[in-house]
Amino acid sequence: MKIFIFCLIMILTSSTAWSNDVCSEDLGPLPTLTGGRVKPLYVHAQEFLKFVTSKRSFGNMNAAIVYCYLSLGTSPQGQELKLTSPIGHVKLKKFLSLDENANEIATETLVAADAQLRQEYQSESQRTEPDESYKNEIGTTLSRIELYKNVKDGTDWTIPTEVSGELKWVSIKEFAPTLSQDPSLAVKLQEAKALFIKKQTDHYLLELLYAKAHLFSWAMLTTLLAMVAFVLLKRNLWGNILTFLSIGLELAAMTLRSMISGRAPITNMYETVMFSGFGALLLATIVSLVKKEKIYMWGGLGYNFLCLFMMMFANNMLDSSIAPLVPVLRDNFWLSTHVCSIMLSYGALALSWILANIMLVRMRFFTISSQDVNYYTKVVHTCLKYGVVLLAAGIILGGIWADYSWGRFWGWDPKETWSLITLCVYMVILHGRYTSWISPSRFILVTAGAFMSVMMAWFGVNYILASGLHSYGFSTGGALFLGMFFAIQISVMVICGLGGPKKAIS
Amino acid sequence: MEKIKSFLDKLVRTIGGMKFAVVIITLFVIAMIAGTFIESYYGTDFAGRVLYQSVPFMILQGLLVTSILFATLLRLPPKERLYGFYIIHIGLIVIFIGALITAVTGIDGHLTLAPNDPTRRVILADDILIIKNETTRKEAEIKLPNTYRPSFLNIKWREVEVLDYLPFSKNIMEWADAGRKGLFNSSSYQMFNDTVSQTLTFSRHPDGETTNHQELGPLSVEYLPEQLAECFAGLNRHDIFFWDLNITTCFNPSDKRVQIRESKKGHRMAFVTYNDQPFVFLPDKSPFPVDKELKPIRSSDLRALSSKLFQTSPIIFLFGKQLTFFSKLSKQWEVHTFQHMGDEISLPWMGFKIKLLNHSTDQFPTLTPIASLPEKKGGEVISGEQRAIKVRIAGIVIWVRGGQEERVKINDNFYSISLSKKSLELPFELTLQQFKMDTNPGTKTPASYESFVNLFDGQSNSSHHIYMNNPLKYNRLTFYQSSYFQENNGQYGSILSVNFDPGRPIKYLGSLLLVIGCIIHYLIGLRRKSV
Repeated sequence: MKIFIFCLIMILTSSTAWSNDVCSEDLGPLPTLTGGRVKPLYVHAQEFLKFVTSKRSFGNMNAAIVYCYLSLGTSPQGQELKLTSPIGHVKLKKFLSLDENANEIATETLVAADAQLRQEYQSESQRTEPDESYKNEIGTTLSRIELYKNVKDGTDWTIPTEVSGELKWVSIKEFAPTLSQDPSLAVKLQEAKALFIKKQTDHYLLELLYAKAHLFSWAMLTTLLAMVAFVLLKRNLWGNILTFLSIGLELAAMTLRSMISGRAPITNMYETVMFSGFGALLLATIVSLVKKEKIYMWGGLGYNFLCLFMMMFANNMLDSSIAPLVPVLRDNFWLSTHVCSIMLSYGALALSWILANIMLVRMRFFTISSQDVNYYTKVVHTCLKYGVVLLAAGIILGGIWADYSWGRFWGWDPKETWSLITLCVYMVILHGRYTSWISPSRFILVTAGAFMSVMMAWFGVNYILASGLHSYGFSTGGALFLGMFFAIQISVMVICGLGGPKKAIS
Repeated sequence: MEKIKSFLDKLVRTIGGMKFAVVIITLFVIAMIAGTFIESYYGTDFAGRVLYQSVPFMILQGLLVTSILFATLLRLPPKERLYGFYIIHIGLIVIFIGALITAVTGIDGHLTLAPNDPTRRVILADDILIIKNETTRKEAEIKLPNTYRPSFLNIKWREVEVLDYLPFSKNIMEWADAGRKGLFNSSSYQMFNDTVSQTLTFSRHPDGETTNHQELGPLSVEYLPEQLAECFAGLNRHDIFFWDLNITTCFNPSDKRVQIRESKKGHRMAFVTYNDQPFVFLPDKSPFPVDKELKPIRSSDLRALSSKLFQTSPIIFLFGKQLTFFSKLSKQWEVHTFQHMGDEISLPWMGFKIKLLNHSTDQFPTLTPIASLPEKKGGEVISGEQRAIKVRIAGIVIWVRGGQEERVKINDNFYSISLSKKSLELPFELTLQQFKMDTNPGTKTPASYESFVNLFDGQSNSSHHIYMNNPLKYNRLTFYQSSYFQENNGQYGSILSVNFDPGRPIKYLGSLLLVIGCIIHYLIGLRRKSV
């Protein structure tokens, strides 16, 4: 296993010309303790660079090298390390006297403005009606400055050393106060890595593999290709193969993530989005193979693509880093059963949502036979049934877990309440459908709308309710995303619902 | 008879019907949505009182159960294709019954364990008012309604009348009649510069609830009795004066009671004979007199104020309409006077100005509770969650606030009144031996909370280890790790939540039925389709 990982890393780390410099790509696999976990330096450096500059690399330099130069206070020959940080808020641009169209600023300039920004943050907080989005933006900028300063001080980079037989983490500043230019430092660093692996484990190297393999990007590509294949090719073979490849890639990524963190990969927003996309695709594939109907697969691929897209690009909202878990969630059995069940249910409901929306548009703008309407209604209905049963099971499992760890089955906590709201909303729809009280076209309309309750339970509770409504302003990533989602969904419903379906041609 | 029967029949059909169910579920959903938003605005306690524990919401849940029950009854006698349906709906009803049993007979409280302190008292959620007549040793416990509205209780117990109850209140400053003999000055000021503005209210009245010391950054403000203004003015002549807190008069070293000498080490010492008692001061070190070992006697009412003590740090002394400070420019104690309300005086620090807003000697500021909504900032409730209750004893009206005790002496009867939480005594004792909080390596974020407790049941001791997801079960009670606190001496205490839930097995049974019912329902559906 270890050899396998090592080989993979060697292959993936396309090592450029060997140089005499301390800061080289060889630093990537060094262990470093950060945020309560041991990570490969490459991963930590990338997270640092991503946070400070919102880019994964600097020019053609990889993150670990940039991090190294900054920590040691040196710079590569012929190139000055001038990092730039993103600036989004108009007020903040004005405060820093930036051009309105500028969207980044030299990080050093920010560091120079640290004191002013701190004061501005203070005075904004003390206002009776503070502009929360502005305050948050200053807060984020201050955290960027703080982290950047720590890296430059040489206090952020931790290195394992041996102190009287015990492993101890020291900063690079303590580790090598004078050696910043000395090539022997490179050797010393590699020795530190060997020491850590000897004393503890090389398990952390898995994360390097995970970070370098970019499995989710590959999964996104195969998902997209699978969709293209289903549309363009008459035979399903290629589409099926690509779909299975995509499932396989995601499964591998999630397995790696579980092995790295030692827990089920469903503990934060990033992971739940990932799991629900995967769950929906898996469920859709099984159902479509059993029922021999392509339509499920289509929905599953579409939703999976949306989830992967969010994971790639919605970095403000979904944090991809692996962090230690809060104490209350540290129970793998309940965590995996409860959250898995809920996430699978969200996946199934998302399938119904995608199909219902496609139907809505088709019924409004294209002709569709009543046979087809009945057929698709049945498909959506099937998705709903799976979703509702899984949701009910998930809520009950959650209740039992809450009872087991807090001593209460139900407490009207916002997350609990919203999951019950979601269940009730779908219950009304299912009951209405059972007794034919809701007509097929209305059924499609309400199913499309009902997914808003899922989004509220899933994201809204965290991004709108938790921050307190006083501070929403629909400006932070999550709230903005949700607001846009609701707006688009409602307009689709209004446009397609009010016009009424085109008369079906039998 | 026929008519009644047909009416009942129709009623059952309506309540058991789909439309009724859909309407009730929709109302239930709307109420819950409102509930989550109320909680987001005003906090958990308020939302619980407004909605989740309110009677209308209970009725709504009752109607929901009735609807489920009637829907099931209507589909009797049993038909094979509906087996899943029956089991699901019975499961739901069983869950509701379990929840009802929990609500009525369950116990939900918390136990605060200070380190090494045996504890039995479990604090519950209900608010109560405890009135004790300590003279006759009689006491009454009044249960307060679980409401969010200010309500007039009008309950009488002996001489005590319980009047208004404010479940959510905040304190506002009101100026009330001083009601006592003597001169007690009270004032409020506004201190401001270009960036900061703050209102300061002070009172020398014995019942005043304000502090008479404020800090604004490096600047400190001290509010003193009016009479002392002259003493401070005298500091330019004698750089020291002596002040008796009780009678607010002062005298300076020219007084024959005072002797100033210099110690061997060159420190200035003052020997004062006051009320036939000798006092020794080291005035340039501390305002308190010192004992033989040169330690300050903080209980003394006689103080020495040396100009030197205050010349180095920015400090303003306010005396109602007058104020004084040591000016570094003129090297003098400057005395300024506000001629009228609203006058401003410039201070020599950071462009600060001070404005007199109010000043009185026969009125003083008191904090009076008024009904309010809880106010949240940054996800935390910051004000408005104070409970307050107005009580009248033989004509005297007092406010009792949550968690506080008020003591009143009336007609030789000594009353103590407090607003607190209902509690119960456990038949056994828990002692916290150690609270342990692990952190994630290299950070301050907690990784685990653990309590090591000793349980003594009257005969034997046993040790238990309580942590997240590992509660202690004893005597049908369950103890969960819930929170922690730090004592003044740095030791950690632990808070456990305590739970007794006879409805638990019933809720679990209902849940099981629900899941089994779903499975059966779909299996029947599949079989029918394949047939």
